[in-house]
This record gives sequence, structure tokens and C-alpha cells, in this order.
Amino acid sequence: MSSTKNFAGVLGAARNGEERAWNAIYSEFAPALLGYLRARWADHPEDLLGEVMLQIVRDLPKFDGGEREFRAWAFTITHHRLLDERRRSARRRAEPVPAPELERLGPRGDTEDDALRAQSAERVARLLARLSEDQQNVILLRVLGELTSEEVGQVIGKSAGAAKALQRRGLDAIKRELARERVTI
Amino acid sequence: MGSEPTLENEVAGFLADVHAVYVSEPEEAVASRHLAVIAREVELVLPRRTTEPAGWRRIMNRNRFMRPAVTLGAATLAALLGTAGLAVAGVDLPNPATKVFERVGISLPNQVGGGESGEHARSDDVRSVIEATPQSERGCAFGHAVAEAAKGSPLPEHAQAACDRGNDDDAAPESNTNRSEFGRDTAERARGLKDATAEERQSFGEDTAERAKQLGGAPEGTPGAEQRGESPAGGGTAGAPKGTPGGPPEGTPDGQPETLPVPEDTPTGPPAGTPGGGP
Repeated sequence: MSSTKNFAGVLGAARNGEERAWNAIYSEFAPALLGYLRARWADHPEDLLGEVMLQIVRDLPKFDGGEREFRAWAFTITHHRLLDERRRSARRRAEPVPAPELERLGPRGDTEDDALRAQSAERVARLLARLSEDQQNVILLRVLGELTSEEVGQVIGKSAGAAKALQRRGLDAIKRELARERVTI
Repeated sequence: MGSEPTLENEVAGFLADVHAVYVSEPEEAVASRHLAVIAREVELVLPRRTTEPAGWRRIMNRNRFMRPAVTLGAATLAALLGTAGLAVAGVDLPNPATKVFERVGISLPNQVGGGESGEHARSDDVRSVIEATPQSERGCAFGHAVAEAAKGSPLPEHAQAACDRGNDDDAAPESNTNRSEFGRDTAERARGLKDATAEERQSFGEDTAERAKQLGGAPEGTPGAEQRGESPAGGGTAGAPKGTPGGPPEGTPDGQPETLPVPEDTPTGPPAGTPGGGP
């Protein structure tokens, strides 16, 4: 949203059940929420996204806050939905994402760009896989959700200090991997 | 270390790649399906208003003072239009109602008073009457003309006739006084004829007739001798003996004598034994 005033107006309209407001909320937050679900290896990220939006609709009357609070609240719902699905499937991907999985990210129509994008996606997945579960959560919430350390801590159920520590260790791990790639190249 | 800034840049580049790889809009079909589900859930959980109100309604809903103010303004406008409508329909409105419009320079139609704007016009009319009438001609009719101009409508008929009566009165003020005295005197004399003889009563009647002639005669159409004996109740000629010219004495205002109280024992009609026939 371009300004706090705009989001407040959109949120008010959404509370009144206006379709246009909900379209705006979906357009603003769905890409980042879906990206988090994809990056955390959800089995059916689109379906989970639909469930997240439904829960936002049901719980909106209880929500109180601005755009930042709403963003943190939406990612909290998304994170909990992800945990529920993992408990159901009891599956965890540690290996790099195979090439067919990357097709879910969607081709852009340009062969060269698609090739570069696929290569980049593979590298990102490989490096993130070197991090712990909590480190991945923190890095992805900071990068994809654009949340602060305090907000990240609220999402994953940890203190702000713990979230900062997890972030530092995660970035250190990424540095070591990048340095190793240099040596390898 | 020289590699540190480079490594930091690589980390920043890597994080940018993370964002670019994973953050993308859902496919159109997926988005449509999600929005349909959201709309269905919104109808179940949230209020049923799906479109934002029109601009003026949005303003009224957001400002809690706007709705009462708009309602009051609408009621005031309705009252003004209704008042003006009554005026157009020919209803003569009271001054307080017309003054509201006159303050803003609006003159309501079909108003007798005409309001302030009418008053301004009437003052001009009065001035016109005054300026158009020479000093020598400013009599009763002039006064009527001024009164009509000031009122803005013709005076009643009885006021119109006052000038005529006044003209007559102006011509013979003294005879009016004489006629009144005659009436009183006739009544007084009639009271004394209780025990009078026929001849005395006849003499009274002739004398009364003669005196009435001297005072100017009865107007045309006054009832004659055929109606003798029909004395008006309480009239000054009550008790006049047979032979007295019928009708009120001439010159009596409005043709009627002064109504003096008649004693209870005043004889009415001719005494018993009075011979019939004319004088």
C-alpha cells in the first residue's frame, strides 16, 4: 500500500465486506505469502494460500492495527498453516530443489531469462538448504515478508533477541557458502 | 579485509535473488479461484455491502455531524418551498412568514400586505396620490384615496359611503341639530298625550307634520298616512295620534328618529273612540 491512510481505508472497506477492498488486500499480500510457502517447501502452496486468506477473512473482525501489524499477522497465520501441514505430511526437504519443482515458479516467456531464473532459483534453494529450519524461517521472513526482527520473533514464537541471533547465524552460514563457491569456481 | 565488502555485497545480492525467485503473483486462474472463495466467505462472515457508497453517502457516513446537518438543511428547504407554494396557491401568509423571504429580496405573490417590498411600493403609491391631488381638492375623497393607496386594496363600501354622508352633513350641520331636537321634543310631547282627547291628539299630529315640513320635508318614498299607527318600537313618534304623517320626520339621520326610551305607559295607537279616516 502506498500510504498508511490508504491501507486504513482499504481495511475499513474490507471490514464492511467490500469486494474491491479484498481484491486490493489479495494483490498486496498474496505474492509474498505464496513465496514464503514455496520457499518453505509447502506441498500445495496455492491451496494453503487460499486457506490463509479465508482465515484472514474470518479473523479480521478481531484484528486491530495498521499495515505493519496486518503484514505480521498474515505471516503468522501463514507460518502456523505451514506447520500444520508439515505435521500432517511429516515430510521435510533438505536436498536442493530438483529442476521439475522449479517449474512451479512459472516461465516468463523469455527463454534466456527463464534459464537464468531457473539457475538462480536452484542456487538460492541450495544455499538456503544449508541453514537450519529456524534460520531459514528468520531469513525468509525478513527478506520476503519485510518484517522487523521483533515481528519475526512474534511470527515464529521467539523473542526479538533470539530472532536477531538466528538471523546473524543464518547470514554467516550464507557467507561461508558463498565463499566456498568462489573457491570452487 | 578486502574481501569482506565484496562478500557483503554477495550476501546482499543473494538475498535480492531470494526475493526475486520466490515473490511473484499467483497465476490468474489461481487468483480468480481464491478471490471467489474470499467473496463467498465475506458474505457469510462480514456485512453484505459489496460496493462502496456514493461519494456523498461516504462523506455522510464518515462524519457523524454531517447527517443531522443535512437533515436540518433539507427540512428548512422543504419549509421554505412549502411556504412559497402556499403563496403561489393564493394563501395570504402572515407577516413573519413573508419577512423571511423579503430579507433576501424575494417578494411572494398573492400577498395582500405585500410585505416590505409591497410596503415600499405602497409608500410610492401614497406619495403619488398626495402629489397628484392639489391642496384645494384634499377632502374626504382624497383621504379615501390615500387610505386605499396605503392599504394596497380598496376600502369597504361603508367607508366609501362615509364621504357621501359627510358631504350632506357638511352642507347643513345646523339642520341636523334641529332635527334631533325636533325628534326629542316630539317624543316628549307624545308622552304627555296619555290622557289627551281626540282633538288634542289630532292637533298634535297636525302640528308635528307642519314642523316636520319646516325642517325640510320627508325624503321620497317615506311611508304615507296609509301606514299610520305603525309606530316604530321605541321611536320618538310613538304614541302619535291618528292623522300624523307616517314615517320618520324628514332629516332624521338614516330616516330614523332618535331612539329615546319610551315610558312603559305611553299609549300606542289611537285612543279608543278615535274616528277613522284621513285627516
